[in-house]
Amino acid sequence: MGRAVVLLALGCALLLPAVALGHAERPAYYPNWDKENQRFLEPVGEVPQYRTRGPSRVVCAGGRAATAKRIKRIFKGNSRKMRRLRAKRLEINQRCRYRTIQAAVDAAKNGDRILIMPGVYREEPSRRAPEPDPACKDLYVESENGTMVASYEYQRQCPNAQNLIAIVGDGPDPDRKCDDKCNLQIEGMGRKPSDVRIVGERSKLNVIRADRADGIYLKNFEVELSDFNNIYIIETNGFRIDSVISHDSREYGVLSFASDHGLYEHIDAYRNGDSGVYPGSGPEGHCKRYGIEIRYVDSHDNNIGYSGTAGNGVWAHHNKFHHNAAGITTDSFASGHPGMPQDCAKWEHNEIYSNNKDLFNAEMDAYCKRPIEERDDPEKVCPTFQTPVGTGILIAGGNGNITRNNYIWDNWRAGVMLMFVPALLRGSDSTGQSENNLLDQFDTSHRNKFVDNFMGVTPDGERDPNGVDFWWDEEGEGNCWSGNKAAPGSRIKSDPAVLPSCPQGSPMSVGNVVKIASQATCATWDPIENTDPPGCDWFTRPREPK
Amino acid sequence: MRARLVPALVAAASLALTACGGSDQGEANAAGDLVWAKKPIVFVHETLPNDRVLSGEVRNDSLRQVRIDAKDLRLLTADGEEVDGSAVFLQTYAHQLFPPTRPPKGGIPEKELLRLGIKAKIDPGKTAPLTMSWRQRRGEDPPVRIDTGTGSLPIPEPINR
Repeated sequence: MGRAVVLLALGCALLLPAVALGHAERPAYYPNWDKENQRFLEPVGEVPQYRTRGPSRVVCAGGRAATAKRIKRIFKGNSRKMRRLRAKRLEINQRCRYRTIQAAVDAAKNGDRILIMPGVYREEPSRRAPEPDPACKDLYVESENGTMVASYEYQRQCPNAQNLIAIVGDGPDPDRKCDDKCNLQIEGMGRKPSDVRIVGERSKLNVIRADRADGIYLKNFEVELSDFNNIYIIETNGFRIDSVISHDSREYGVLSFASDHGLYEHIDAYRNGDSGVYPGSGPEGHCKRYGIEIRYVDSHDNNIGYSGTAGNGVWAHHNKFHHNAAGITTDSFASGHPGMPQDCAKWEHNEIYSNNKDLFNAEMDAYCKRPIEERDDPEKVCPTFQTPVGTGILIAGGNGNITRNNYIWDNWRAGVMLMFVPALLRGSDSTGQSENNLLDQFDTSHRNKFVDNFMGVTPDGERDPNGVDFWWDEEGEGNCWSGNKAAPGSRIKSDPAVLPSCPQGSPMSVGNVVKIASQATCATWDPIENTDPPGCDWFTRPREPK
Repeated sequence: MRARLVPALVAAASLALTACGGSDQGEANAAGDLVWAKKPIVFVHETLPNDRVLSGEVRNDSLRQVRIDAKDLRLLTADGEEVDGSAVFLQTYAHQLFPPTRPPKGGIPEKELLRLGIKAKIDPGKTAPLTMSWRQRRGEDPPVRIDTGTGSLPIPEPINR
């Protein structure tokens, strides 16, 4: 009964009018990019620390009385601990002055904590903000690919046009650094994340946008149903997302872009149309440092568990990426992403398994062709990009990545795929933050290391094979595979059958033309007109390997 | 160093294509503005035995810029029957910026269409990669040429039938 009600509510939410906008981001800059001199500076910054003291503002949906009832229900029990927690929450509730999170953000000063009492937050005043907002009609800029997009000034002056909750911190100076709304800590005060729900109902592109909001800390809540990003961190130096549930975004559960000194942790991300977590345009440390850390994330039942175009400088460890169409992808495919080509991610001690979610079959194709307002099954994830179903990790056009000590099993196409992306396909980056040398088409897929992984075997030691453990298009130099272990009695299965070992790796090769061309056909996928392009096997779930 | 390596690699790629059954005679049967820069290869997809993939490179042999949409390329049998297929001016997979589910108002900008190989602009003497694919149904004639609108390009036999 309860489940039926939830499904009905979600179904109704999905029937609300959608914002149907194409989306390209404004030209974005890393915090340590010196725009004037076109160079990277030494990065300065840190991941924010959790604070239990300091000035705070309290938000309570529906008012103090209704919230008090919820607190008593959530913190019920007569144990000493529970009585103390209940009393503390009721005391905090007495200080409630805001009914919406945005109102508290608007009132906040640097370093404030915003305490969100248990309840459902729909942020109705923000929903009434028009998009596009006529008040900001002159605040568009041209994106890298020629479309006009909202500028930073647009976000600053019309913060709720595209965002249900906007934390936009840079004042009217030219430095791209946070001036106000800095170091905010926004925390749900329930026992668990689902006690505070922030519900987008597809009313805005982003449910939460932190834009040049250095030091932002988001903790202990559930966020859902954005039209693009449930949580969006952009041009922000220092951010932390902790103990958050993010689901049913049309595109991304949590996305960071051109940001640095970040930490994703204890995130449960599911049923997002692109990916659960997306550390895109990650910090350019060129393998000397990792600027974004991702740990204890459980990302499942999305199109992709983790993706990141130009996902540089990311250290992801002790996560689970499972039951997606693909577990992890990182790439150098799309234009408009600073930091190209992708390099220097490190994945270790992760569990990457059972990524065979069949999102491209005929039934799903038919369902996803329906206008979004007519898609009434909240359990169905419509993929927004093409994905090779059955893949644990796909590195497309990446350099210097390390895949080490992971358990990778039950991915029916491949445990890991490595392929190159020619420079021409990355497009241009007029911001100067990428290395796009059109004279060097073979500048990706070099020096990637795959070492000491457990392939086709569960952490319990049970055999559960991948289609192949490693697939490589045979392009690149210095790629190497060593110390990877199969289940007892099994061998590592790869295509090609023999892989170069570490440390020397592969000599330079332009690749296997048949393998490379077999991927090109997948570029013609279109969810309306070409759902099953000939010559592309990405969208057919492979048979379970024996 | 890498810049010096590139011409050698391109040459190596050409050699690889030639070694796969091609030669520079591929353009001999071409007619029109676009010719094969070198003989393309056609292969049976490894996991899709009914599917054929053609990978090649076209050169503009005319004196004017050729502007062409990939969807305007047609696969034709010897009898002139059209075979359904896909075409893209790419050598490998590319990823669009805009989710295919929601293109921007006014359509995808031309710059992005060119990057994605949905369209091509080829200056005189210049080349562009081309990948085409189709389903070869049992008992049906295979396509033998590509109609480019201003001419045609011959399709060789698969190398791994």
